[in-house]
Amino acid sequence: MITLKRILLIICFLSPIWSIAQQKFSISGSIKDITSGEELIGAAVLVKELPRTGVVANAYGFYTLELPLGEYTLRFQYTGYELKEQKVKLDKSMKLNVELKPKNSELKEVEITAEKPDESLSRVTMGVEKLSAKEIKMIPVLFGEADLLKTLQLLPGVKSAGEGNTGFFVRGGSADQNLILLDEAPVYNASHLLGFFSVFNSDAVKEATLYKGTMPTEFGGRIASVLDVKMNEGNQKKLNVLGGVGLIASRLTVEAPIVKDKSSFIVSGRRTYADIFLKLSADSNLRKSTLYFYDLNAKLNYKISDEDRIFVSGYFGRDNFGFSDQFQFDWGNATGTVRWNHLFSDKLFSNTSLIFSDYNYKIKISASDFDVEIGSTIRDWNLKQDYQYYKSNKSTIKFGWNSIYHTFMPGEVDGVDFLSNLTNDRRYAWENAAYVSHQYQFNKKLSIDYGLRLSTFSYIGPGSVYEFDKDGNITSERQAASGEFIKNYINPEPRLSINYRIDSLQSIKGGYSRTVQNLHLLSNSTSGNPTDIWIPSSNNVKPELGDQYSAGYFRNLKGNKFEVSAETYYKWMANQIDYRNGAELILNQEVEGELVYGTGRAYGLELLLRKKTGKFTGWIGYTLSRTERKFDDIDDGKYFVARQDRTHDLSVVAMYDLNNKWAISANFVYYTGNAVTFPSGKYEMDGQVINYYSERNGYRMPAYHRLDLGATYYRKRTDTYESSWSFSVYNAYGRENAYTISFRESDTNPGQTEAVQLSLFRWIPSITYNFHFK
Amino acid sequence: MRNSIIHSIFAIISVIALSSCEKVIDIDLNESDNKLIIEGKINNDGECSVKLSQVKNYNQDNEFPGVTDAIVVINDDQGNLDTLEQGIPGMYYSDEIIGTPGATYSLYVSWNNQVYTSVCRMPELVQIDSLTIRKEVFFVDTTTIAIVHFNDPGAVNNYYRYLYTINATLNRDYNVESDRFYNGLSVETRIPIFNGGPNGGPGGGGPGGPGNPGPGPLNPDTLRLEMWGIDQSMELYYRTLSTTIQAASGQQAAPANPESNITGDALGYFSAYTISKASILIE
Repeated sequence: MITLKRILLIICFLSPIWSIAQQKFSISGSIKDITSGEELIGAAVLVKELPRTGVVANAYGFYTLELPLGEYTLRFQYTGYELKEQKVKLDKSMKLNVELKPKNSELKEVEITAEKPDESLSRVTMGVEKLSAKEIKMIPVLFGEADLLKTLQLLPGVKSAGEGNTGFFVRGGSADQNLILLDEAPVYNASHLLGFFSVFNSDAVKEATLYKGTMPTEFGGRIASVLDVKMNEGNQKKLNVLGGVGLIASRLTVEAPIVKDKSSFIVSGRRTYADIFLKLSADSNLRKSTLYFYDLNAKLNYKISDEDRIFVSGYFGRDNFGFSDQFQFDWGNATGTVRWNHLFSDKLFSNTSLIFSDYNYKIKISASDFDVEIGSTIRDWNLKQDYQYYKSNKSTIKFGWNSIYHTFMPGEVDGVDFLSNLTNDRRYAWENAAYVSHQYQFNKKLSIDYGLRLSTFSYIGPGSVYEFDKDGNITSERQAASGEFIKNYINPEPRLSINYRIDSLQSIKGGYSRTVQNLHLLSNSTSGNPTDIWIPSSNNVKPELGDQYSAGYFRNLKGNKFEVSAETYYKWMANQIDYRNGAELILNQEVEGELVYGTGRAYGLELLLRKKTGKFTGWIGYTLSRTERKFDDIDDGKYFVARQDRTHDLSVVAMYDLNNKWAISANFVYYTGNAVTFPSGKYEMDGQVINYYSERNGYRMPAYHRLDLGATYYRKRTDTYESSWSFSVYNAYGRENAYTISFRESDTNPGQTEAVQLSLFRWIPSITYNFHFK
Repeated sequence: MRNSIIHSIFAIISVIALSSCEKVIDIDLNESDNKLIIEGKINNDGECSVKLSQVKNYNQDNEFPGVTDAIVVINDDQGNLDTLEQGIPGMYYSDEIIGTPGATYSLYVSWNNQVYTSVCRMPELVQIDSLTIRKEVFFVDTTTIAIVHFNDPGAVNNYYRYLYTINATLNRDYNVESDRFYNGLSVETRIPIFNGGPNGGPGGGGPGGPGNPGPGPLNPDTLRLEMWGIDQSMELYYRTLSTTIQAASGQQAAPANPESNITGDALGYFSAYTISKASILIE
């Protein structure tokens, strides 16, 4: 008996899953928009009779609520939609699919993705930021082309990689340490035109969630953040055609049901034509150039039954840069996802995905006597299985696994015979992960979410395997057999989040996460190039590790109209990568010899005040932070500030609905200049003046600040047709922000050297016409 | 190549933006430590010289006086040793050390209570077989390409640097490469010939230093080309030096000093190299 009692005690104390049996029934179903049939991710289901009992629909718009026998009034809520109350008599488990009606189409345009009104307090994890397509479209950006990644940079803890650039840094991480997912498929290069545009067409995006703190266990593979972008699913009710014509790009989207309420599709395309301006240029070289990109998003969904649903989605985008027929340079991503949602029961939800992702670039040069083609590719096949088990309203278990096969073609050369041996070995890797996490609410105040992700990474033959000494010289070389496991890594990744709800208006949260990254981007430019290549962890390159501790205080004011939060974090990073002086990263079979390894640390404080509802919405975000790296060979092994270190970073975003016709918006950003390396002296060598450098990132670029203004005029708004004009001015007061600072001999004062600042964009106006046939 | 692509894309984007602008700004730069600069050369063409100078503060003028109070010694693996004599201030010469392919040379510089040393082996001589010329339209400009024909020895790794003189101007671009892709083969190396202006300093031909002298038609003249056989450490030095020069344009993530083959915290190099010369008339 003692043993049985002990077992019971152990179960009671260690396993929060354990509970006393009570007759309970579940009610489950989907929550959708009544006009489009789109799932409403994060819509709330509350029980009127039981205050503080409620759940939130998951990423597929599916909810499960468990209640004792009885009669209840369920309230379905989603900001921007009319509240729907439904009485239910619960004497057996039941299904209830609900459709909500948008409150008022005028308002809808500016409403932020809605959640439970106190979602920011009740959500267990911290460091989560959400943006809806509507917000993305309202906020003015460069060239008037609404852009998810640029809007994301206005949130605290997220920093832009540079003027007009879509690259971003999260809490001291590098740009390649963000996992960017489009319908679960990783996007390896999320930018167009050297980063001035992102690959996300705002008409095709439903919602984006950024995890900058503790990552949920179903995500892994990068150490700084996950950006989870979901594509629109297509209107289930009727045909919609929408689009826009702008100064440099046009968009067109068609969505319609195939079988009403059962299946639908969406196709969305975008093409820039900025290069037509080049024809006006006086420079004959520019007149012969082409430079454009296009995107295509498509998605199909089919509801087989109440229990089964299939989604097929894909993205294809390409940049093209060319010069007559002598030079062609094109690059882009292709992704594809086939997803099957299945309900085993009203408590067990399953998602199975087969995912494909490809990024490549090609350079083609035709000279009079030879043609040569250089290219590089990374390609993934990925099978993913996720389960969500709703044990009770207080307890949800998530578990699953994921298996990815990576193929790397770091450098392929074709054309001239003598150049063909420039082609680098292809490389292969197999990445696996299994995870389980449990979210549990102990009582009204305390909830936790804890879990473990176990990830493995195998570097697989065939291919040349090198070993290097500490100076990067090859000490041994051998050929690995096909299918040989050259190197294996196994890493446990514990994750923990705790939420203590002090009262109905405030909560404190804490979290810890370990993250592992086995793919590394090699890039030695400041802005990121299409030719940057991804390499796997190997016998030389060890997995990058990240440990993040975070804590925060959250408070809602004025009946949940305002959210205030303060989050702090400390992050430690191992096996960070830098390059030897003069490293050759392209077409270099022995590129691993060019790498050096170090550690990093980052810490900061993020403050956010946000107004989410009403005619006036927006936020003020401020980040105080420090980001450092340490390498044995740089600055005598001392910590130095990383390039993306910015002490102060402020953004103010405001959107206001003036009336039925006009909506206006503005945003202002201010941040400390990047850390940079400037010369501390000069000397003469071979008859030339050469700059002398003494310490890494010892200087600062000038502080950056900018104001953007936007306005939308609704020309016509009826139930079947809507059209509007969007106007914006980027950098409205014409601040000359430094894009680069270069050093050269003075023209006016020969024999002296001077610093020259290049500024890119001042007063960039734009205008876009948008239409929508419903 | 890659940089020129990126520069073109930026050029196009600035045309679109119609608003990029440049201005001279003041930056408060640190005082530099006045490190020693060593340029040591020994070749099979009769030159054995060492030039010594120092780093200056950035805001000072571009006059770099030589270091005159140093002791400079070079010896070889044949037992020859010579203390170099100073000619013009900061230039030290030897008449006794004769550069011979295959020999190894050591440099000692003693200055300011510090000793700086370096060792460099002169590679075996690789001769140019022939030099030919072709003209190609690359983008809109006609570019003259010099083609250097030679046989690369297969037994060892070789490293080459090319320099040329045309229209009375020595082009000092760092045209440097290794035989990584053609070890032991018969090789044709293509070198675009530019009408570059004087390589006065960073910005001699625009930002980025002498890497960007303008293409364009050449005046008829004799092209005199030199192929240097250099040591591996010098290939790294020249490669990192051209990165340092390009870094002046501000696009590089982390500019650094070139990788020197001299021990003792000096900047510069000690190079033992072979020279093979050829010339051709360009019409």
